[in-house]
Amino acid sequence: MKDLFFSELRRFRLAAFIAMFAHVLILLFLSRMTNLLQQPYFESVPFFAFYLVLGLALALMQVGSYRKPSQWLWLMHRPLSTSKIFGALALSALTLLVIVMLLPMLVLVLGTDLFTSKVVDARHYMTAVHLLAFAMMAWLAGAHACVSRHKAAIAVLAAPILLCMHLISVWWLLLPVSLALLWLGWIALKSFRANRDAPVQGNFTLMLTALPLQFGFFLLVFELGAFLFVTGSIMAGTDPLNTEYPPKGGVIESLRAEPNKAMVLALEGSIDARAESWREQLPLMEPLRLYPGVHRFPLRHQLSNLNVPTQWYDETRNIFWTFSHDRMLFHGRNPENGADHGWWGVNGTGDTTPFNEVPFALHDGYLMTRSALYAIDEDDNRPHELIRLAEGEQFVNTPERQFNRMFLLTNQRVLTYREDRNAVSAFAPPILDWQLPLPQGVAQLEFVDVAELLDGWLVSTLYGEGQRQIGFNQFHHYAVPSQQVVYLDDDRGVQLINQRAITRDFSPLQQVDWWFSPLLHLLAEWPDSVLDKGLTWPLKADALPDAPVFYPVAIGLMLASFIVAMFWLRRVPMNTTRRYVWLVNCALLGVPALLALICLEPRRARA
Amino acid sequence: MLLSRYDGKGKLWPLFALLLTLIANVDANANNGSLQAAKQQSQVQRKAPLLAREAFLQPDTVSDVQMSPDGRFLLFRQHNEQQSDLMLRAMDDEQLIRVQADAQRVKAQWSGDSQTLWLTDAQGLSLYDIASQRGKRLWNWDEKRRQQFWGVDSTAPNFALMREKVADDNRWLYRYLLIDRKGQTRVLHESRLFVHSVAINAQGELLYSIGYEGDNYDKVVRQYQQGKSRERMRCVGVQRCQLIGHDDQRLLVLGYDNEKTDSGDKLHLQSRTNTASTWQTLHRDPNDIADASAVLWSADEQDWLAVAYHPDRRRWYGNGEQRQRQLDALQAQLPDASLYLQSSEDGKRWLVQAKRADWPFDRYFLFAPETLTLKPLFANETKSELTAATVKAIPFSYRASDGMLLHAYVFLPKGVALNKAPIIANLHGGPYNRDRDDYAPITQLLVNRGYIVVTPNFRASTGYGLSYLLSAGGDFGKGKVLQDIIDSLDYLLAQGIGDSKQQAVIGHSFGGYASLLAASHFPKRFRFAVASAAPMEFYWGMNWIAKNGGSAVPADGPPAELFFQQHGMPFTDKHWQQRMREESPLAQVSALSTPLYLWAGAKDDRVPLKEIVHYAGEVKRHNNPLTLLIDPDTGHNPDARLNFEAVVYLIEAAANQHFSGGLTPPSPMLKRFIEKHIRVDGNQLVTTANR
Repeated sequence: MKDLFFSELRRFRLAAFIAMFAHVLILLFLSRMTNLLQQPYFESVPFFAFYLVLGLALALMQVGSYRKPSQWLWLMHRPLSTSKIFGALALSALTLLVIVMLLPMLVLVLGTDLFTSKVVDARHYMTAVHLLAFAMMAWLAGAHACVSRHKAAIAVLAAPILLCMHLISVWWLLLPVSLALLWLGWIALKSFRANRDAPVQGNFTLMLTALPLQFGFFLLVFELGAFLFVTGSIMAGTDPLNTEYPPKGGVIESLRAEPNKAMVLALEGSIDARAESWREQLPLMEPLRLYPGVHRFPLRHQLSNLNVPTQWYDETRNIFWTFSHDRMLFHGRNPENGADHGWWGVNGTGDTTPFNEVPFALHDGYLMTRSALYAIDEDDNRPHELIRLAEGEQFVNTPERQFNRMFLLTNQRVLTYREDRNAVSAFAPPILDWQLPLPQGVAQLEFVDVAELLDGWLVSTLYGEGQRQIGFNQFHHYAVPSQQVVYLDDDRGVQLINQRAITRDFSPLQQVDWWFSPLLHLLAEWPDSVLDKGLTWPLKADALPDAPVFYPVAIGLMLASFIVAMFWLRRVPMNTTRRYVWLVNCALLGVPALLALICLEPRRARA
Repeated sequence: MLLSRYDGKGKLWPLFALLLTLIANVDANANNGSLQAAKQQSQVQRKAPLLAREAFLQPDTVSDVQMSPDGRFLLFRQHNEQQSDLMLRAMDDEQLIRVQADAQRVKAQWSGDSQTLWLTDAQGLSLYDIASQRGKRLWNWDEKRRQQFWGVDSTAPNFALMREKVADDNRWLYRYLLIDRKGQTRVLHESRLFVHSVAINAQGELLYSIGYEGDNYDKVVRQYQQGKSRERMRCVGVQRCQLIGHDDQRLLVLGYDNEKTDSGDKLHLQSRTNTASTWQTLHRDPNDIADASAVLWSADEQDWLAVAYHPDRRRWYGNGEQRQRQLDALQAQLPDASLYLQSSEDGKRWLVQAKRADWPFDRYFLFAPETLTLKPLFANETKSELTAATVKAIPFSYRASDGMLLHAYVFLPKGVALNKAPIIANLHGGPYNRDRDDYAPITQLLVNRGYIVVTPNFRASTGYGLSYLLSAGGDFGKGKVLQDIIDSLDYLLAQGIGDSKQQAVIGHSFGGYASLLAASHFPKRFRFAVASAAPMEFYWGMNWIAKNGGSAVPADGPPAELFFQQHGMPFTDKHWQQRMREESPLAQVSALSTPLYLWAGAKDDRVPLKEIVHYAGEVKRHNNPLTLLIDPDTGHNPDARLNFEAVVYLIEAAANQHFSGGLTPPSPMLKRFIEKHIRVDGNQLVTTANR
């Protein structure tokens, strides 16, 4: 095993050292252009993709070189068990990736830590380790695909990625990453055998191999189908997002309307005596539209920064204050000479009282955490806490100023503050002017429109049909849209003015992938709903959506998969247990399971 | 109660009204003669040519003229199409020096020795040296300390004054600082409440101050000696006090203190020596009509030269017979003009700014009192075409229905039968403000279109003493103030001035509110009403200001509630609040039948847009003809030229729709602006304009 390990290292040593050197240079170059340690995840994605491709490319070069039957026989027919052969190849790949990837990254992080006053946290070291782990996953998936009967086996990579690619704490991430490495390691190990065309041996291994493959097919087929459906709808002129005018009475119509027009729509059908007067006034007004635009807050030890600034600049003193996740404090640095300006805690400069939650900086001199809003006092060089929410409540937008007030949305309420005119300090906490509970919380909330009336406020809330974008992912749930208008009088009494039913713009079948494979849908969204990702509106697994149309379609697909599987298995030699496993699998998971079956269980040729 | 029967619903009222009219006629007879003479004169004059609206809106090319204390230089602002420059001119050689280009927002003040100019802008304070013609920045305002320029005392030429407002012990602290020519500062005075003005000596030591004191925000004049201060005068509530001058022995102020009755009604000039226990009146309006409005002071003589009042026009009274002769001679050379005077420190040169309603541009002269010669200073005063078309303000007084004597101006079009001419009441804002006899472009435009314009100084107007100011008693609904406006129209109609079937009412801010009141409570009387930045409900509006602040009340003055009460409004009285609600244009919207033209500034911090929008919605809902223009970038007053012209266009077009006096088509730019920002056009103003 040792010989094979070293021989594999010798095969790639030159390429590895050239790649390492190039990697060091690239990192050095990029670190001159940007602060690599504080870049948002949006900018980190190309790095992630690059390392993934690197791992995959190594697998294709290293294991792919043994793919020819003669080479494979040469590899396998040596006085070593297949597990040791696999182990030697995997360890050599890991060593090569450590040399090419990890070492340059660690040199950069350690160098920054030791020789600069920039913030370096444990998460930065751990991020390098995680990147190595992802590259290794790609190598394992690539190795598995190289030695599998079908090249589509590369789809096994989808499940571990789905399991691990989350912006959570680097420490919590160790759990899914370790699990994914073990999982991929196991199926890759089991795919190393003399007869590569033979079916996967053992039901446990079969299930571990089939599951990620089914995930891969689930994502691939549904996304491809959805893409074709949307493209076809656009060409047919029936896609609601791509028609000249949005469908009447739907969510898109209100979303695209100016707030004053959307509020007139919201009053449609109201029998309130004042509605007529408001309909006359609203076209003359400019109501404020609040979006629940803050989808997530930064987490402590998060893998990468969100697309929100975690540093702010004190122009007077020429100090960049960057948040350290280890200390939960801001750390000051003069960008001109690199001078260290110490720590900045909840009581300002020199104070080491940590923040409870990771804050992010807003453009107009605020710092915001999930539950607190601070104003930065540059004179006294300290933050002032302006607003603190109750336990369990969190902000879902950043402060909006209009009508001489500051508006905030939380996951429970609309909050309206006015400045304390009697206060002497410019940083006095604002006075709560009025608040309004969100009728259905923040889930599915599209916007809140607020119009200032002579004698109160008109507030309209629109709930959409369940589409949601988080980072690069779009999540679809089935929801019935609705709109509600309430009136707050000057004494802050609340009256419901109108409740408006809104028709759905999208076909539920187009929008929600539950019906394609209910169990895989749940499994695919499971990590997002159980991991703490800092979401202001956490994902909720929707086991049984209230959409009757889904059920016959889902059952039909499951049944069809079951029947086709039966036909497929008629010419596949296997024991009864394995046959039942496949049939139950196809009956439960539907089309993706059927595709996995076709991929993993070759049929016997007709006589 | 009786007034509410004015519409003819009551039975006793006609007899009572007849009685009152007889009494009023006795008092007003003195006016009748001059008014009839003016009427005859106007009717026989040649009709003025119709001029384009733009002609009335031309900005002056010169403004803010100041003479240096030594009388050797003139400082003024020179405007052209693109910018306004701060210019300096030597009196002797008339050479022009540009002190600062594009100085629209720069304010300048002479130092007492005439050597330097203190220039202040939004960024800070600069010093301009006259001899070297160089300026240098001395100080940048610290915004967080709310620093700003405060003034200059001519007796302390080496210093300027600035103020700041800082947090101290969780309360505001007002700090007043001296800044010298090197930019060094030192604290002159600190106070927990705002100080209006101070007098200092040449060394920069504090001698006198006027500032708020106590919970009632009395304005107190204090004298400072050897580190101690003593109260010399207390002006209570709405009373004003103003430092005029001082010498070693005495202090001169404008105030209300009356040695006989404790408190007088009219602002007058008075003095008090250091040892005296009472104030001595130096001069008061001989006709007992008006407050003192200006004092001419000689720094060399350390004495007053003259004092002015503004009953109908600004009238000056000299300190002694010689001064009076000089003033008479000056006034004789500029008949009917209101004169605004500045004196050199030796009193030998007077800068004269002359204003008249029919002069589109102020005229400036240098007057030598010893030789009585008057020399024009700028050549821009006369634009013959416009001057020929404008008319004088004809002051008149009339008795209101309750017998109170009120003052107003009427502007008569030339060459038209005045008893058939439309008549428009143009109401001033405030209500604590007044109309004067100076050039008003909207008034002159309307007169040029053949309409009579009356500008009544209804009760609550300023300048006629405290009783006049406070006599409204907060009656801003269907009460005294509205009746004063109606009475002014009735008085003129009774004189054969105006056609009773062609009446209209226009106004800005409170004037707009009063216009809507008139249209609401006298729905058959007015052919149209134009109301700009107009509140729709008086108490609601005042309460909104009290809650939200803004520019309607002094930023560092008494709280709004106290401010309103000092002005005679029973602000906290529930009955008054209820009455204001019930009598408001908003509550009376169902009775409305007069076509309305409303203007609103979207950034108005005195009359919020939502108030006007709410009213507009209600007017529309009741199917009353309405045109609404919302200017998106303007606050309470449309200052920019295009924005102001839009308001003028609205008035001109409304008047043309109902009285057919003529309308200048809008320029392409104005047309675009109007079409874009007219949000409701039930009167089809845009449609009509496009035809």
